[in-house]
This record gives sequence, C-alpha cells and structure tokens, in this order.
Amino acid sequence: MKDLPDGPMGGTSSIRIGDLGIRFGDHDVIRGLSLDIEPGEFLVLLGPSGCGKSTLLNAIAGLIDVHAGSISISGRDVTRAEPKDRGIGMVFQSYALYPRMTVKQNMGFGLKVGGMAKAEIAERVARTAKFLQIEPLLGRRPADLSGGQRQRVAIGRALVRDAEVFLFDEPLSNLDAQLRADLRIEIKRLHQQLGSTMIYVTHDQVEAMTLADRIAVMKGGEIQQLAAPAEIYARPANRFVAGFLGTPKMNFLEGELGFAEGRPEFRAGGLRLDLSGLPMAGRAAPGPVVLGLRPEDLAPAGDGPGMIAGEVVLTEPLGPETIVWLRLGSSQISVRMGAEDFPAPGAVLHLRPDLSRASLFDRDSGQRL
Amino acid sequence: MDRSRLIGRAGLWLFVALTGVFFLLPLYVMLVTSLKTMPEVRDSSIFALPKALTFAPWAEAWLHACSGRVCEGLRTGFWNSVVITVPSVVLSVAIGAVNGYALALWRARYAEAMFAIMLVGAFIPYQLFIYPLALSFASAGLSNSLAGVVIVHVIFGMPVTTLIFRNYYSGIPADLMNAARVDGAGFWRILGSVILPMSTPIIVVAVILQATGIWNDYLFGLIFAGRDHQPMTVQLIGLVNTRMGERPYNVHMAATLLTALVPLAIYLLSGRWFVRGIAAGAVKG
Repeated sequence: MKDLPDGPMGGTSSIRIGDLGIRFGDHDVIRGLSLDIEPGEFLVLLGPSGCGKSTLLNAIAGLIDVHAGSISISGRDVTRAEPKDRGIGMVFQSYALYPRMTVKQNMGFGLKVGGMAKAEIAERVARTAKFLQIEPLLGRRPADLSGGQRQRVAIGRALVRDAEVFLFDEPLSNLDAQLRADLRIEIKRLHQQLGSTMIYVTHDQVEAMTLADRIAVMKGGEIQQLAAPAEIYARPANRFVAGFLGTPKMNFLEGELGFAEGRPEFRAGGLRLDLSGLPMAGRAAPGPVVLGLRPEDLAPAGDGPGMIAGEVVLTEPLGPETIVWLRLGSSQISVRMGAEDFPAPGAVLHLRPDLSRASLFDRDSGQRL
Repeated sequence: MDRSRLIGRAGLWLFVALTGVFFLLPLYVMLVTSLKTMPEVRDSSIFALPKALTFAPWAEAWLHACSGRVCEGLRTGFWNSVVITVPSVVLSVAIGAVNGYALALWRARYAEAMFAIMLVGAFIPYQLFIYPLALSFASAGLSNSLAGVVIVHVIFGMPVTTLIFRNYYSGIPADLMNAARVDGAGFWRILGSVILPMSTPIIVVAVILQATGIWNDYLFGLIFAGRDHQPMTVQLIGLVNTRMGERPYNVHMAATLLTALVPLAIYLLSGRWFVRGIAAGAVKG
C-alpha cells in the first residue's frame, strides 16, 4: 500500500450502542450490551466462538434484527436502518465475493446498485485498486485468485464505497499463517492511513493485541472487559480474560490470601509468597484466592524462601525463546525462558515470581480482587 | 490387477452390458420396425434389419395418420405440445427458482412450515386433485384451454422445482447474501445479479426435468387441454387406437419414436450438464 493523497476517503464516525438485546427465537444471545466507540478508533471484539461477537457485528451492520436497545452511528439512530443506509463497509471471513463477476464488477457492484454514473464508478474502482495494489487483478474472476488476493479484493470492495465505518468479520481466519501476518500489517497500515472507525471481530488474540486501540473481550454475549490491549494483558478483569489472552496462558495457583504482621501473603500448601509489592493485595480481604502469574513473570533462581519449585516435564523451544512446563503439585505451570539456556525434563527448577505484576482473583467468582 | 479385482471388473461390465441391452433392445425393435414396409413387418422377425429401407411410415405418422376422425398425422400435436411445454417449463422453473431462493436465503418467517406443506403437496398422488381441479377450472372458464393446462403444469411442477432450487441455494454461504445487502441490493437485485448467474447447472437440471415431464404428460393434456390443444401424447394414443383394418405397426412405431424424440434429444444434448447439476445439488442438499 502506498501513501496516496488521492486514496479512498475514510470518514470517521462514532458508534454508540445502548442496552442492546438480540434474541434468536427464545434464546437471548446478547442482553443489555452497551458500547461506545470513538471516531477513528480501532476496536477489536475478541472471544471464543459462540460468544456473540459476530452477532454484535452483524447487528451493527444491520444484517440481523435487534430485539431491544439502540445503535447509532455519527449520532444518527440506525437501529432499524437498512445495511446500505448505515455508511458501513464490511469484510467477511469467507470473502463473499460474487463468483460470476470480475474483480472490477465486484468492487463496483455497490456503487452500481446505488445508481452512480458508470464513469465515476470506473474512476473510484481504479483509485481503490491502485491504493491496494490490486490493479492487475481487476479483470479476473474470484475463482482465479488466491486466498490473500480474494481478501484484498474484499477489502477493496468495502473501501470503494467511502464508508465511515469498516466492519471486519474474522477476515484473516481462512488464510495461512504467513499470509495472515502480512495482511494483519496491511490492515493496521490501512487504519493508520484512512483513520476510519473500524470494528474487527476475531478469536485470535495476536490480531487483537496488535491491531486494537481497545479490545472488548466477550463471553456469553457479555463484554468481560473493555480496555487497551496492554491494560487487558497486565490487569485482566477476571480469570476468563486472563486465560484468553497470552500464549501460553497465565498460570493460575489456588490458595489463600492471608496477612502476616500486616503484610499480605499468598499461601498454598507449604508455599508462602509475600504480596506486599502488589497494591491490590493489601486492599483485599483474606480468603480463598487464585494467584495469576504470566509465564514471563517467573525467573529461574536459586533455592530459598519465596521461590516456586517444580519438576520440568516438557520444553518447547520456539527459536527466540523456550517455553518450559513444570509440574507443581497437581497443576502445570509454564515459564518463558531463553532460547538456549533451559533445563532438561526431569530437572527441578526454582522460580522467583515477579509478584508486583501478578493478578489476584476471587476463587469462587473468578473476578479480579 | 489381482484376481478378485478382475472378477469384480468383469461383473461390473456384465451388469452394464445387460442394462444396456435391456433398455436398448426395445428401442432397436421400434427403430427397425418403423423402417420396414408392412409386408416385411408381417413376414420377418422383429429383430431383423429392414431389407428394403423405407421412410414412408415416418412420413405417414407425421403427415397423414388418423387419430380418431382427424387424419393430419402428429404434426398438430407436436406444435400443441411445444406451445404447452415452453410456457409451462419457463414458468415452473422461474417460480421454483424464486421460491427456492426465498426459502433458502431469506429465512422468511414460517419458511420451513411452508416448505413442508409444499412437499406434502408434491407427494399426494395428483389424481386426487383432478376432479376438484376440473370443476374449479370449469367455473373459472379455464377448462379446455391452453391457459388451463399450462396452469396445471405450473402448479404441479412447482414443488419439485422449488425443492431443487432450495437445496442448491442452501449451499450458498450466508456471507454472500450479507455482502450483497451491505452493497445495497434488495431481494430481486440479489437474485438477478448474484444468485441466478451462479445457477446455470441447476437451471439446466430443472428445465430438463420439467421439459421431459411436461412433454410426456398424458393425463393433464387429455383432461385440461381440450380438443384444440391436444398434446402429441394424446394424439399418439388416439392414433394407435384408431383401427381401420390391419394395424400399421410400422407407422405406430414411427409415431411413438417421433413423440419420444424431443425428450431424447434433450437428454442427449444436455447429459453432461444434467449429471453435473444433479451432483452439485446432491452434494449441497
């Protein structure tokens, strides 16, 4: 993609979703969901399949009926508006290109339906194709394109309409890993150049972390946490969010929160961890808790108090780093270590946790304390 | 190739050969008989090739053979059949396509229930409907008319064409519809610009099924078409049953072959498309 002053025009719009309810038959898929999206923001809806993220996106697009609440784009209530009247462009997981039309016709179809003059359609398609560098493909049919080319054309079809809001429904899920990484960067650059409001649905945490201004982590039709990627990674709102972001996922240790001479302490079996470096621990009440530690917040050290010890069961060398899995009582924990200097299975490893970066969750509710 | 596979192959070819003989032998007998003179038909075996080739029976069947008291051959019936079949096929396929599209891709309210009712309609023997239908048409002034017989063909063809198109269209991803809706296209625009251009194989299947079915129909033509629009099949029966002295088997065979020629030609010309369309429908349905 090039920096073209005459590229597609991206408008920017705010989106306001108020108390939204979506029902399939008697089943509430989404209930009472509210969400404000800033103009020009890149918001990622992240969650496992069935969490309602695609349903929410389709509701914003106007493709499914809303049962309660309201959706407004740029201050205009579009809850009952047709998709075409919402000023949106949309990119789908399966590309959804029209199979019997050429790339050119695919991109121009929406403009043609909208009654635009032929010359202007041709000009806009040409401009967008140049911007996305897909000009050589214009005469081809979708069947003659590779997956990456198809998705680029699908993005072009959304761009050509000069929409104010772009909706992406898992656009990279059907692509292989290398292509996914390439197109991820292109989408990020696209957002930087257009500055448009974008909503992006994915179950891939890497896409979410790299693309988003803010991530809304969803589960069971509800937003679990809405915050910037770094905030969600460092301070997950509950165990679900903590486990969903990060590979390998956060280690969880079950135990008790207690106080020794006024200092908060995590106790599990013979293990005692001083939590005075963790501000949230001092404010919490004693009781059963789950301590969450990221694999990179554990560092090998010598034996001593405040150390976690476990037997190495498996190592996964990844190139730049190695994931080491240890057995700790009945559970397994993972540690992120260097590329070369890691222990062999069977060895006992002592780890010093960086407790200032730990998270504490209520053991019953799973909520952050 | 090992022994058991060889035996399997041989069995397969034997089966194919037997099936071929079973279907081709009657056709062969009809063809050779239609090309013989009557004395030869009387004297030779029905399997023997004609000694003196003659096309007179074909000309007789097409131009002069008597069906009842009218002696004009089958040509009037042929044109009647064309005039009945073409609009019936076009309408029943078009309606089936729209129905299938609406049922499969627009998730209309009660779509499943409506489809179920239509299917039940398709499986009730249609002889049951004939008497009430004949009465209704009479009171509507449609009996013994071209419009009447076309309407009957369209009504009874619709469940099958709807089923065919619905199954084919249910394989189309929902995202394609969503993309077209975001692009601003409505019900008819999506059908015309996106869906129908993808439908060639299944349209061919529906046209073949309907064209052969309607061309071969006898009962509806007999009851609803009236004297002026008698299809070829009805005339054929009349021709075969009209007796004046000796039965002209060669003319009867020629007349029957003439009547069967249209469906035969349709299958031969479109066989590849037909198989492709059936397979596509089967995989996706």
